[in-house]
Amino acid sequence: MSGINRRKFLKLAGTLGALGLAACTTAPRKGSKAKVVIVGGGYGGSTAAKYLKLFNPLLDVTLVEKMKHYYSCAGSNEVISGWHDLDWLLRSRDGLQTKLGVKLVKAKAVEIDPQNRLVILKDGSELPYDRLVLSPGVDMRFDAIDGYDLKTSKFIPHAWKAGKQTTLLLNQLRAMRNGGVVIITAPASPYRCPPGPYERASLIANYLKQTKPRSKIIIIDAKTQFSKQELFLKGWQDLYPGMIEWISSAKEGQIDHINPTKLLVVTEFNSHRADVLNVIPPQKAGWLARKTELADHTRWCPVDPHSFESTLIPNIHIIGDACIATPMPKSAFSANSQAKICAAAIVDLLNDRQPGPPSLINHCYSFLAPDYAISINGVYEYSGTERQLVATAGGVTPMNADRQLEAKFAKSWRDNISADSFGG
Amino acid sequence: MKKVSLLIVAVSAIATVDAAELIAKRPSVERMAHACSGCHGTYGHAIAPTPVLAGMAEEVFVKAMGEFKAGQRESSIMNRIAQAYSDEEIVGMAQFFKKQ
Repeated sequence: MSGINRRKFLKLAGTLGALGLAACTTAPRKGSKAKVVIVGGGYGGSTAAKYLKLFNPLLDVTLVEKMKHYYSCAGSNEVISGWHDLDWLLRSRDGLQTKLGVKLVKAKAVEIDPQNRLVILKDGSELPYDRLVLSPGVDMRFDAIDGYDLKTSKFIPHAWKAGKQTTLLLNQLRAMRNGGVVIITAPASPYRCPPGPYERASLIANYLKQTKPRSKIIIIDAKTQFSKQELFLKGWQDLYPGMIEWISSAKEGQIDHINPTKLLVVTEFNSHRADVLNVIPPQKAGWLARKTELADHTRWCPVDPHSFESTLIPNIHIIGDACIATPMPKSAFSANSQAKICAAAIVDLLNDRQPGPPSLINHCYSFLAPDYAISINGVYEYSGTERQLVATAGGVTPMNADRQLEAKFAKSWRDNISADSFGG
Repeated sequence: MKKVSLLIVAVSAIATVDAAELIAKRPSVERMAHACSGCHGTYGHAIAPTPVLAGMAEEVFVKAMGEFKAGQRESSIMNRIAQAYSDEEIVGMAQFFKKQ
């Protein structure tokens, strides 16, 4: 957003702000006296809380999250493959409080009042804010695939949020017979973790090859191409020949329906029976963002990439999977990078400075085996002509590159992104 | 014909302003450097084996990034990332990390 659009937005934001002020009991606080509330303690929200404190230790920063600990979605495919226990995914935010002075509030935020700049918690208490950061992640669209809803997901896992769902899929794979068929359905873009379904297929193959080698994995895709496609196809051919079949929507069309009792996936032109069925449904911005009407017709939240402030409601910033940051993918790394731009911009805005141009990075590794990984990355800037973020560099692992070295750095990345996002 | 050339003048004037705006408004070195910490740790304090950038000598950083950018030093990751930054920006980031 720049030029006329940006001016229009600022004018609108100013008008809304003035209206808000009229109804508000307190005037907005500036500089170090300001209150910043963050809702959502995943990679995005935790990083935002941390960097707000690093950029201005005097700021009053409160992080609201209903879960005591966070199960990282990044890495959950490695739990499904049996390489680690579920607890390996736990991330503690305690250091944000003990080392940096972030106030951690374990509560569910049930409502946002943008007019009075309040976050309302489940027990009825109110948290006032001058700037609010929402990092609500994704919700599954249980209305998108005929035959697959919230109830069905209790026995046909999506496993696209780490925790109970991860364990459910893991246990079903453990119980499956040798020679069984695992079906993964992959959604159309955009969704959380674009290469995730293909990494999952690889790591399930890694487990099955060792324990139930006559088994097979079928990916039924709503797309006609996918992230790091050539690298995945080469890896599957080298590591798991004949085990993974990818079915493009160009071949079979979209999923018509799912028969949950027979574990049947019926496409426009065919039907497939699974022993273990993993449905990854289409997704949408997390509930609180949608309830506050921060999402547009796409079900995701439009933001100004200079600050990640909503283009729909002033003083509310949305980061991570829920926001529209095209062409950045929805990933933990993107959320971490967006959180830092958002934190720097909030400090600027609280001091009456216009936030400068953003610079962001995404880098996503996918494992195909413990010593075999590939990656995709991008460096992003704002383009005044495109009026959105653009990639100024990046790409995928070169075909001849050392996959073992990538695996070494993929493991190291987990340590570093966790420390940078959750560690004080 | 006159209308057309006026239009061309008008369009190119807009394009020039936008281009000037883009050049003048480069992201700050701080914003660039903080994006690195997703792999290289907060303020460049990475956990091994990822290289630590904090306290790195300026010339070492500049040399490495220059070589990654030019493809003279092979890395499956940094060759792709280094392309995004100008020589001046690389020096700026080197100075940022040296101080950490």
